[in-house]
Amino acid sequence: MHQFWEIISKADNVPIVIMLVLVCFFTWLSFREALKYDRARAEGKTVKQAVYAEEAGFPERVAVWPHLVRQEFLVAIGVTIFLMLWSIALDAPLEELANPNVTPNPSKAPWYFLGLQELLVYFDPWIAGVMLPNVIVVGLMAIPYIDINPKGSGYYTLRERPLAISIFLFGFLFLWVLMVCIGTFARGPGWLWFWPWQHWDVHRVVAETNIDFSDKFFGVDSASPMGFWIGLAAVALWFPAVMFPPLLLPSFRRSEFFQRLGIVRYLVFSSLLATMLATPVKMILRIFLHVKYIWVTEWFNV
Amino acid sequence: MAAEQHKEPLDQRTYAHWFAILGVLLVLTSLLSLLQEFFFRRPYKGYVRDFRSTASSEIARQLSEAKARYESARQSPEFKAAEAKLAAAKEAYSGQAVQGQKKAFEDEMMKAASELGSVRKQLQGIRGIYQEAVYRFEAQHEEAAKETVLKLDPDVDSFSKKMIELDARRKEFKNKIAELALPVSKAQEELDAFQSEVVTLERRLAAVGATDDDIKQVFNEQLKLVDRCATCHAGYDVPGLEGLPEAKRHLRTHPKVTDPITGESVDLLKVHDVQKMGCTPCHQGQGYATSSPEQGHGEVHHWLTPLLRKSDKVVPGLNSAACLKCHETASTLAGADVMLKGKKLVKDYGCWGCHKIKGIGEEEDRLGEAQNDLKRLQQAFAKLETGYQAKVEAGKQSFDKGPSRTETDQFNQTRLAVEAAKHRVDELALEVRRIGPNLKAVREKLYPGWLPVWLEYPKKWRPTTRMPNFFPERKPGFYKLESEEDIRKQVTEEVQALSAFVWQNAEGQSPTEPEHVPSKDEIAKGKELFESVGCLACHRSDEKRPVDAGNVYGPELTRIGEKARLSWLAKWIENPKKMMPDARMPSLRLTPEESKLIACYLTTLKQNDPLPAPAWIEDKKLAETGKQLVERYGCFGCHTIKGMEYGKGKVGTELSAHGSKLVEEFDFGLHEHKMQAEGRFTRQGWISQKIDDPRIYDEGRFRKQVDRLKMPKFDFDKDDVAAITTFIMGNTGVEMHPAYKMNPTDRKAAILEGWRLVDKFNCTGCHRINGQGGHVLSVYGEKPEERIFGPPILQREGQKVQSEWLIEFLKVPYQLRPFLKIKMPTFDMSEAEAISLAKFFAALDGEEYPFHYRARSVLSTEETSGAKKIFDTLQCLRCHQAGQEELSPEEAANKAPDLFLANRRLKQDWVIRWLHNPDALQADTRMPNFWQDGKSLVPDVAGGDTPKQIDMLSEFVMHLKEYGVQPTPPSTAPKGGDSFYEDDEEEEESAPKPAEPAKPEEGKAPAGEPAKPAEGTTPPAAEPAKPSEGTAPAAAEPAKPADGGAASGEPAKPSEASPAPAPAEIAPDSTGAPAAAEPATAPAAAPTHGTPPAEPAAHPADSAGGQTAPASPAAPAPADGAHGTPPVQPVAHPADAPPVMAPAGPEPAAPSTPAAPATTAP
Repeated sequence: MHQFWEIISKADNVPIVIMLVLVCFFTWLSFREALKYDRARAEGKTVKQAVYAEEAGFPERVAVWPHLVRQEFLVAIGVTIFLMLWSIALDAPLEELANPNVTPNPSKAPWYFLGLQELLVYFDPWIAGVMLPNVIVVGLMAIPYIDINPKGSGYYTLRERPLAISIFLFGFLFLWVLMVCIGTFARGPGWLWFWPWQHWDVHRVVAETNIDFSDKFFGVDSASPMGFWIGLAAVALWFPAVMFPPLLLPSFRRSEFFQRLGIVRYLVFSSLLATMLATPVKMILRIFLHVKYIWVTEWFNV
Repeated sequence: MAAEQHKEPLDQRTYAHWFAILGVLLVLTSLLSLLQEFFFRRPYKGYVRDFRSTASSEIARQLSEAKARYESARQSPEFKAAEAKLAAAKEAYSGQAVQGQKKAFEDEMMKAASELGSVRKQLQGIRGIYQEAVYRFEAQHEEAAKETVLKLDPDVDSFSKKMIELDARRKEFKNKIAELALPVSKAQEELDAFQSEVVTLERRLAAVGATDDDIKQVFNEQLKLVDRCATCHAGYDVPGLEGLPEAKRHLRTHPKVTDPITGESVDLLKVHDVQKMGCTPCHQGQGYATSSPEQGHGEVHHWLTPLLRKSDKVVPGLNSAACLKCHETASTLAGADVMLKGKKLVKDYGCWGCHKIKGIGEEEDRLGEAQNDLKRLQQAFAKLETGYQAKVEAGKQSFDKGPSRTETDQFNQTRLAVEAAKHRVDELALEVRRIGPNLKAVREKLYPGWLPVWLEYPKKWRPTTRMPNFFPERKPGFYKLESEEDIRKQVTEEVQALSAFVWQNAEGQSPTEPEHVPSKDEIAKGKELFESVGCLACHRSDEKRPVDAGNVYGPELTRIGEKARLSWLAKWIENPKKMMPDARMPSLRLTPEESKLIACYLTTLKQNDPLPAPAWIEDKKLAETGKQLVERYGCFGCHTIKGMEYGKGKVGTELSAHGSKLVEEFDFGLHEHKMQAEGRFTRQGWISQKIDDPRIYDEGRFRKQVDRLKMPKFDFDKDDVAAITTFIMGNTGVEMHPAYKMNPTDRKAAILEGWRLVDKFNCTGCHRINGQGGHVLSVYGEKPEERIFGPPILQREGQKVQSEWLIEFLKVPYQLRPFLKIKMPTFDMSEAEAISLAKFFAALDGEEYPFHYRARSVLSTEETSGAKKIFDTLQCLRCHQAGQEELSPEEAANKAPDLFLANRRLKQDWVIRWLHNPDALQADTRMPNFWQDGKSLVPDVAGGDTPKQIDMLSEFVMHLKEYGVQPTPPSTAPKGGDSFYEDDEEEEESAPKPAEPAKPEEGKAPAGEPAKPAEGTTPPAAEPAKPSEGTAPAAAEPAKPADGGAASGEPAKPSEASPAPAPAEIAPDSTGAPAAAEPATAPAAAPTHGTPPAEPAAHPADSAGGQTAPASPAAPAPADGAHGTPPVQPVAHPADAPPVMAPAGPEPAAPSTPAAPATTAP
């Protein structure tokens, strides 16, 4: 545990620890508020009644000035105090003179990129470093066009936006925050996995026993043409396998969700979702089944 | 808010208390940050405060003492006298006369000054206009301006002149006024001197008290550093704070160090300007950090160059490591003794055999480079040659098909370059000395049974050996799963394999006949020889004799009889270089009989009888394994092994940058945690532990044999480990800015290089040089009359001898002092090394190199007879040898150096000083002082004037033959012993004895039969020696004019070294000597590379009285480079007086074909 304390107490990792606390707090807060709202609505109250359950007689709208601004001002003072104390208490965690001949071990990205760095374990650099970040950005930009559900604006609710919230929580908490935490706390020298109670031994040796998908399940050499086609098929089949099954259900096609979304929006949404889900699937295959690559080509590996 | 109409719940809330709390907090935080900035982050202020009070009280204490001393001095008569003097001076000054004069001078001065003022004003006015006009005229070509310029020009000149005059006048009177006050100010100064100490201390006290809190920093752009060390260490440059208590040691004055040679105290800050170069180049640490001592000292994580502490807990004395950055070549350095000790150990123990280290053992690298050059050139030449020869052949058929001029030039140039490269390789090969013996001769040399015993643990057999232990003891389980039996098996196997390989890979064969059994008499004689000729300077043969820096140079011989064969020892002692060209051991020029006697004695040095040969020693398969082991352990780093002579590289890590290697890059093995916990997870921690126990980092590992650490264990003690670690820590690989590197003057560089060579050849084993060494003298005893029989102490050698002679002598030494039994060995040093040593001795005494010119003052006839009288009265030749006459042992025991050598050997200035007082130049010399207290023993010469007499005698002694004194003829032909003109004889039994008395009537050299007498085809000497074709150096030797006596006996060998040996000079001043040698036309130069000499090679000089001096045959040039005897640069000698007999005539050159004796006398 000494090792764990050493990591936590490192000046570099203070923001991560703070982030963890904040993420937990706000998640808890939003769930509490959302449940409160949902309960009130279930009791038959109006939206306004549900939102202002405690402050009855509160107007539906209030002016930004002074109500919001004065609160923000106070918070700004508080944050300033906090930042000043932080900078007094902890020096900048500078290390030795940069030396192009020496790579630190482990060499870690800035904390907010550790999630992406973690993906490098599972994917080729061009996927983990180029394609996935781009898909994330494009996907975030597409949200206003895909998510046309007007509910939940200005108040917390779970029941009115179950899909949006669960996808967000999965993407943010599991695929981003958790990855950052893994990268920070569990990845030691050689980017090997260390449990918090394990000493980060620079000389540790771990056997790499992963093998490719086609070798594993079909006994076909992944570098052979046959292996190539098997890999390609597996990757190509993943997307329809995620996107189309709901469409086969008549009840889904008739649902208000699908009706409102329309087929084009649905296809965009579901392809983005498939990409997002592919990431944990690949990770699970890698971790539990020791699958190295699904599809091996001459130019890139997936 | 009260005015608001709404009564909304949100609106009702007040945040005033939040605002108040946060506001107060913000103010407090801001205050905190200010406190932090001004106090918490600036701990150095505390140090400065401490310094102010501590240093002030210390200096105040000194001041009060000084004041007390001053008070007591005030009572002294000197002080009273000074006071009275001042009072008198003051009174005189204030007297009417002086004051009146002063007034007059002042008036004059004021007058001049006021005039000067007005002139200056006028000049300024004119000059402004003038300069403007000049500008307009020059740059804008205005004609109008020209007028102005011409008009004002004379005015400007005259005013300027006037101004200068007036100023001079003003100054003159000012000085006069000052002169009037001079007695007063002088008296005041005298009085002030009494309290100068007090004043200095008062000033110092004030300065210390006024030290401010600012950061004091040195910024050095060249070294890219900002050092703020002086901020806290404020007392470093304040004298008198050396005595601060331990707790305040950081405020002390920078300590001084002691020079190891002179014993003087050296202030390093005076040598290294701290204000310019800062502190961290020497001390390391984080120069600009001021937040805490740990930060400043760089003893924090991530700072790569932490402070090098003298009190380092792992490596005491570590601070001297940094000296190496700039003092790479130093061999002595004040304050760096630990590092230099380490450097010497690294050199002496041959660490460089396996590790590349900058500046150590680079001779081998240079040789490798030279060999590569040679190879490249030879390839180029071979390519060129085929084409060229074809063209030459073609040219025979038709002229225009022959090689062109350019092609011929190119061919010849390349051939010359190949020759030059070959020569360089040969020269460099002389310099390479591996630390261990050549292993090619083990079959002839050793009893094979000794090999495994030795290899298993050399130090067990011979504790003083430098050979490390390749099989250090380890416990079972040191390597995982290794049992005691495994260890024993591995060690036995490897020892046997190595022995078998070394044995089988040797050249030559063991003698089949049994070794000679020495008789008692032989042993006794051998012992006497061994102990007298000088072996003891390098070898220790008696366990009772203490180990000293001299006798560890060669191997200890206490058990040599168990190891080496008598037959081989005899051959070896006779001439080690003949047996192994790369031997460190020099030749003592012993006869075969003598060396056999010594060998007989040596074989009795044993504890047991030699072991029988083990059965497996000829096992081929074992030898195969042994070869792999030799490659793995890198035995060729220290030993010359057949098939692995060169180009095998070094098996160890390069150490040139180990001092800056990252700690993380060292393999601590499984010791990492332990050493981290003990604070030894540092560079010095790793290195010192590695040296102490080289295999330690393998402990607890599971390793195949080939992967195991292989560095052998040297069994160094703690201090040695610390010293070596310090030296390695100094090798940071950081190239220092050249402006800061030690840049020795030529003289200093010569001294440094000289000490290196002195160390290399162990000169200090015998000689005491500049008070250093002379270890073998302890054998002779401490009393002067005993010590005189030891090797000469080299005091002022540079002032004493001529460099040219010294170079020759070093290369081919001979017996100089007949009374000494100990011999100067023949080292076979390279030309470059001999020259370096000659330079070294010249530099030590501040003498010029290479010129030593002194105008001669040739004696008049009268003076000559006077000098002769002194010479005879003092009976110089009673003690001094005169020429190379044969001496009986009894005679030799009392003979001093040959006076006929003085001409070439000594510097006359030295001779003069020597005659004045020999004892002053060399303590305990046997030479008496003939001019005791400046009184002459020959009062009737030169009016008894001592300096004049000595000048005369020195001139006389320096040119004995010229003044008619002849060397004593050798009574019999000298045996092939230690005579200075014979150095070939040892190698070639049949070589002629050149010093035969030549009977003039005979046309032949009577006794000196040439080795290969003239055959019909051999050209007579008078003809140019025909150089053989091909590569044989056909350097025709310059003939020497008959010089008679000692000098001409100098064997001149074809000088391979210099393309053009000095032409023989013709004596310009063969004064009164009858029928001075009609000097032969000396061949101008020795052409190299087969070009036949243009002139006849030699002309026997005419000798006195028309007698023909048959040129005794030249000592045949040694068979081309035999045994690497360095070629001697022929030195031309003026033909002196005709020799009574010509022991050695001019020598016809005989490069490869032996010259015929000069049968035809001119």
